[in-house]
Amino acid sequence: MPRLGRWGIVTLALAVLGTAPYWVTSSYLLGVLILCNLYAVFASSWDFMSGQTGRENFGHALFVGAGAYTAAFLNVRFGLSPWWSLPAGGLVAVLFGLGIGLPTLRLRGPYFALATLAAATIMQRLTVIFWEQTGGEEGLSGLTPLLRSPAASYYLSLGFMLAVAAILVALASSRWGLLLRSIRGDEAAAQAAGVNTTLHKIGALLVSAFFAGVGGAFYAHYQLQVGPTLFSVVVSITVIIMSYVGGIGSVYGAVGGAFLLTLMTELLRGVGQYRLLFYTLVLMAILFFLPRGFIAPLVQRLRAGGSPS
Amino acid sequence: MSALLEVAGLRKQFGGLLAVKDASFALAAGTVTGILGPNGAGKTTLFNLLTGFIRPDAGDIRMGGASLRGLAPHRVVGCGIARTFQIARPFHQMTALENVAVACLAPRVRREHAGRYLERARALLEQVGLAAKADRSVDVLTYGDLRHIEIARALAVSPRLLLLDEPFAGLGAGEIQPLAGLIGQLRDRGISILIIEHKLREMMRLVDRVIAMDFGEIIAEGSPAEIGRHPRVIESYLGREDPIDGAA
Repeated sequence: MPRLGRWGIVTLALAVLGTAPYWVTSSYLLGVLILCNLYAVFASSWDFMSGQTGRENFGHALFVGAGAYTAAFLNVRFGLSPWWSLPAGGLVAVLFGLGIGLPTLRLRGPYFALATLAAATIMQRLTVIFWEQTGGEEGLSGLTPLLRSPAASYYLSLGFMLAVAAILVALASSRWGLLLRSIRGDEAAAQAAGVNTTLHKIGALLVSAFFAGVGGAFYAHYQLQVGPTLFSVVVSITVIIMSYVGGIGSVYGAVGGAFLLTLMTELLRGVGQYRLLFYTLVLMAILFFLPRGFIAPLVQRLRAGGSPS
Repeated sequence: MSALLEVAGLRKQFGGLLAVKDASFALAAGTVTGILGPNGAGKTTLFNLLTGFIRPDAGDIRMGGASLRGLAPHRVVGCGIARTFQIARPFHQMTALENVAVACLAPRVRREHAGRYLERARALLEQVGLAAKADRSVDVLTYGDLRHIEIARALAVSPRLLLLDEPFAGLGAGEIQPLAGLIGQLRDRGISILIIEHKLREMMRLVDRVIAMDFGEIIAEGSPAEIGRHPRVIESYLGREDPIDGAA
């Protein structure tokens, strides 16, 4: 494994994922892989804000749900083509990000974390309260899929995930990423070094919200329905756990964590009612033995051994 | 000599505590000024006021004639004031080079050194003697190294005024002289320096002027020799002379 190198591992992963429709014969399993791709987008976009700047967002479901419901409204109520949903879902999520970020990210302390948690929960309630527009508990259904064929849908989701991951890796390794990590390192010291920390935290949140929103819209057109549970705490926490399991502060970590946990959830269906028990035990084992995640330390070691800095 | 920094009637109250009481002073360009005072005299609060980390209740701060009142810390940096902290505050999980490079990306500096921020950061580390440790994570460096990184980071923003909060604290005997030498070099390059320090002997050797504070107030101002003789300064450091013994 160590002889393989960073690009070796990336190439291997791409080869496996790129040929999946040829060796994954069950369309159910191919569907699980599509979910893996979408959760990888949710987790890596969460990690871009919270992993880089260190400000924890406990309500990423807000952006996922905002993107998904935007898709449903435009597609089901107004009959727009599903392709419009992707940019629209991202933009609506950005508006939610502004609403949360502008008042809370200028403050230090737990306000941002609490506001994200509360906002997602409030949205979940609002979708039930305004049931005439949102469909209440049942949500909205009858969305049109982006593409009909399962293999084509899979490749679209894979391409989408890879594009998001590539953009986030590029941003994180840019000068801007350096500024964001300085905020995580010590916010007061970053200010003393001339960094406008409020501006950069809000910027990171908007990028994070945008990709989560586009991902949410994609998810809606894959599931062909949306419901209030998209805004639930479970979604937010799952995304955070994925990032931690893979290794926080690393796009590769978030993607790896999303694949591991999504696959594990599905594979553990075989053990029936013990599923949650096994899931939790595996999680505890990973976090106990690999507290920095199972992907991020590997990437770091390869980077340190390979190219300078 | 024209004043670089002018402070007029600066006041800050924390609940019932008047931390800084109507402080007024001026700093000339190209000088080193020491701030002296027992713990709790308001020295660090004064630094926090000057750098925008806390807002004054009253008074004004002018840098080269322009008011800094109400500016956020990063804007104050843009006006040419840089600072270090009493306890070193590195950016954790980053290398020494990255720590300094962040400050090289400050908007004002970026315009002057477009695109070469890493080279600039490396040169600054060289200046404080840390070039060999540039690519090490700050989490494995010694405390003395971290203090030097703080200074390199402050210099990265090309300050006209540098505020040093106890730069010698936590340094070994062998590290103090080189740092004092560096501070002297910076002054010779025209950077004004305001320094809080409890190691009096080292500080007095370094400074042109001293401002003495006690209970949030400026109690004396003058040359190191004048301050050393000033009765209120002696009183605040050593206590009042016993009236019976001192009667002769």
